[in-house]
Amino acid sequence: MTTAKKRSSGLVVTALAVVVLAVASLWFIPLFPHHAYISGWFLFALMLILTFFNFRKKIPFLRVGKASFWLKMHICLGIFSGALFFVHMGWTWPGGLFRQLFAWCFLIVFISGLVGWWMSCTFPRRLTVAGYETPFDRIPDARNNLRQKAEALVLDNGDGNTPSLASLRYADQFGTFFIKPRNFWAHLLESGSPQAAHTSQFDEMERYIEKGELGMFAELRDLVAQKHMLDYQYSLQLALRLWLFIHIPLSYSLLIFSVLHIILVHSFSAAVS
Amino acid sequence: MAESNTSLAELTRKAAKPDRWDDPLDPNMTDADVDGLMAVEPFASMDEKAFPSSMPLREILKADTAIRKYEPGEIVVRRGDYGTSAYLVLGGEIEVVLKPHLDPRLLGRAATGKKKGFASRLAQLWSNNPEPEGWDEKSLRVSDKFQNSVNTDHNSVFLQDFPKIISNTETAAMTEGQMFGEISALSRMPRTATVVASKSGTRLLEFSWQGLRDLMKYDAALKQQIDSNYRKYSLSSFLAKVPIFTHLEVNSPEFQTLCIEAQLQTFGDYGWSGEYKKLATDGDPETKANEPLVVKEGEYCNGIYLVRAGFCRVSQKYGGGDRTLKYIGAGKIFGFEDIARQQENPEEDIDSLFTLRAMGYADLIFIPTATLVKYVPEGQLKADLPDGIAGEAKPQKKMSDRLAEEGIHPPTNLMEFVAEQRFFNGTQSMVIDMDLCTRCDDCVRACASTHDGNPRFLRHGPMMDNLMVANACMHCVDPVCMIGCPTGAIHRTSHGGEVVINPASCIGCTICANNCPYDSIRMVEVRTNKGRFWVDDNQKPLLKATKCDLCIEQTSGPACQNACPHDALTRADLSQENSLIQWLKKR
Repeated sequence: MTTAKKRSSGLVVTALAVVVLAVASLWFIPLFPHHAYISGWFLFALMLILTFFNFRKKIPFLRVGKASFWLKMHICLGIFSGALFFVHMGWTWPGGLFRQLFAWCFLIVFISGLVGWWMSCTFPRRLTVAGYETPFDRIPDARNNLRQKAEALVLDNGDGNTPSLASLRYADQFGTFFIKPRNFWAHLLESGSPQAAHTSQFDEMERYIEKGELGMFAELRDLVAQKHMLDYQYSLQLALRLWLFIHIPLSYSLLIFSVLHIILVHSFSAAVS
Repeated sequence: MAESNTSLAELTRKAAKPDRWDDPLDPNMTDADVDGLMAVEPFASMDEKAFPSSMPLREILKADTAIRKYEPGEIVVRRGDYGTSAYLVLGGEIEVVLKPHLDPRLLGRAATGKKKGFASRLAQLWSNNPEPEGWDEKSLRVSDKFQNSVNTDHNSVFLQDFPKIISNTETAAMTEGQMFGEISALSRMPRTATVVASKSGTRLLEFSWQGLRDLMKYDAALKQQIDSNYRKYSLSSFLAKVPIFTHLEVNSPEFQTLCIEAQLQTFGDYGWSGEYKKLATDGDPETKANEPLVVKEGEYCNGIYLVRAGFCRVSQKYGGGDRTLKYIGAGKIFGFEDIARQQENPEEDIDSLFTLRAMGYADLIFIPTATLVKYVPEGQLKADLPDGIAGEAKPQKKMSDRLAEEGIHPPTNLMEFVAEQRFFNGTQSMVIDMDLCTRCDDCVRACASTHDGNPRFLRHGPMMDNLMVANACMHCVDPVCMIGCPTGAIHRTSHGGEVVINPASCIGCTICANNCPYDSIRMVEVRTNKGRFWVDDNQKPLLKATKCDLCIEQTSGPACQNACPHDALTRADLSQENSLIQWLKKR
């Protein structure tokens, strides 16, 4: 069975389990008076398993299964836990500050997980197709390299006394462009408008460029295009990292909330019952 | 005319033409040394006139040989090492260790097959060094005992208590006039035995493989002697494993005749790795033109070629150029299909359907059709092309047919990429599907976690479409990195196994890193646990060679592969064309 088939078969089983759970929550589960305890503890166990995926990354030297297996399980159990969470809450939004914070925390972790999953499925292909593959931690060096090339190109041009038109335009428009990453959201949303704007500026300027500067002008145009590609790599690779900064810390917060919730529920359950 | 000359001068630059003798094996060889050699056998009997004026015997000896002196107990070659030199005993005596083989630790290697226990694996959670390349003093050296064995002036290793060690093993002595190591040098195979000098003042003449090749070319007696040794010790064991000859008894007259009729042919240059580095730096659109032609498409090929060592490119005309169909390595056969076709149509002259070129170098064995017809059963000759030799699966159908049945066609551009980049040399190449890789670097972190906090590869490398071959040790079929290691620190764990470095016996000479054509070995300046650099007596930082060891000490296999959450990374055997294709099929 191929990897894609394995992945989709896991999702089909999860979808079936979610449907069964939803149906059962309407017709079968309400028959049990203490179903909230069972679903609550089951949910807590799921959270522990889901959190273990991150711990698995820290212990590659122990034989605890391949990370790809853990990710598949993480996705399937994560989706199922979303449904179970609503079953546990009785399909209502909870009241009270603590329980609302808890529920929001779960919801953000759940949604950030789905967003991260979507990005993990779609961004790699976009990055490959875009080209200019650069490891994330080398992007600042690559950017600096482009900047130095562009500056050298402009400085080497002209007679040394009178700045050329291309030099002036570089200082005016592209000087800051090469310094740091640009157009994060535009690249993320696959918008070509920043690059189109630069292309249009180059086209406009080309008619005023002197013949001797045309070579340098073409090279500068090429460097700007490369910088756009590098920014594209940066934006998508940054997004692929950033979502984890929401998902993981909140997952740990969720565990703390869960423990507190369990303590509170069991402390006051006698009074409630 | 004058104008034409002027423009030529403007367009060209004068430089000294590279010469065959530019890079001698030993720059200190003198004419007096050569005179001395000319007085001893086998050179004394060689006819100098048989050598062409462009390649005189004396020049070969001066450029391609070196006189080495050894003391008792000094190791000349180690079992399992790769080398490109052969030796002639000029004086003194050496001992060839037959059995039992010496303890790897005596040769500067790590004990083989030692895996970490559960406790020490778990301890990596907290015991990894916080400093990059932080090494404690104990791990810098094997032991004081081994350290005393290393002569850093000569980059050589001695066996301590040599007489006692030798007394416990079976050895064969070799004295003046005897030659050894020539088969390993000419066929690029690992040394089969350890050789140790046993008498004081032992003098050996070291030949480079180029020198040996040229001497054999112009001296029939030497060629006959080496050919005879090769057929006796190496060729027969190789042919005995070829599927189409397995029905022959090794001691039978037929098999012996087969060994005599087989022709040994070497194409290309063993120093291909240097050429590859140049190619990678400068780029060369004429790569194929520089590959020695073995068989040309459309010409009659009267026999089959068995690849003994090295790699060949199989290509076919396509439009105005050649299209690479596959590359074949050790154990593969070329030309069998043409012979089978000819057997079916005996009246016709069947021309080769493909072109065969040696990539880098190739050590081939040519079996003429007449010999093949004599010794291969008729039914088998008309059968499909056998794909492998002993140890590999013996498919009855051609690879292309089987893959086509499964809906897979080996992409030509993938074949070209693997061939151009010389990745076919890798048995454990790190291939990443960049369409699945989220660039999370979990593989890098896992590698660091299992190597004391230091990653041993770069997640970056050449790409073809969505496939990247990352800069990690490929554990090559032909590990050129192992040639010349003075202490034997870089070695294979077993025959054909992983190439690993024993950090403790690495003296930081950088030979392996310079030899590696793929830049997969990094020299690191080692530090103390507090981040201070370890330095030697001259205040120079201590260097150690580092590279991927395929997590040899871990029980869970390569951490990089297991840590990839998206199954985007695999360690593929690119020396087998179907390995990568099968993995891609599973995507």
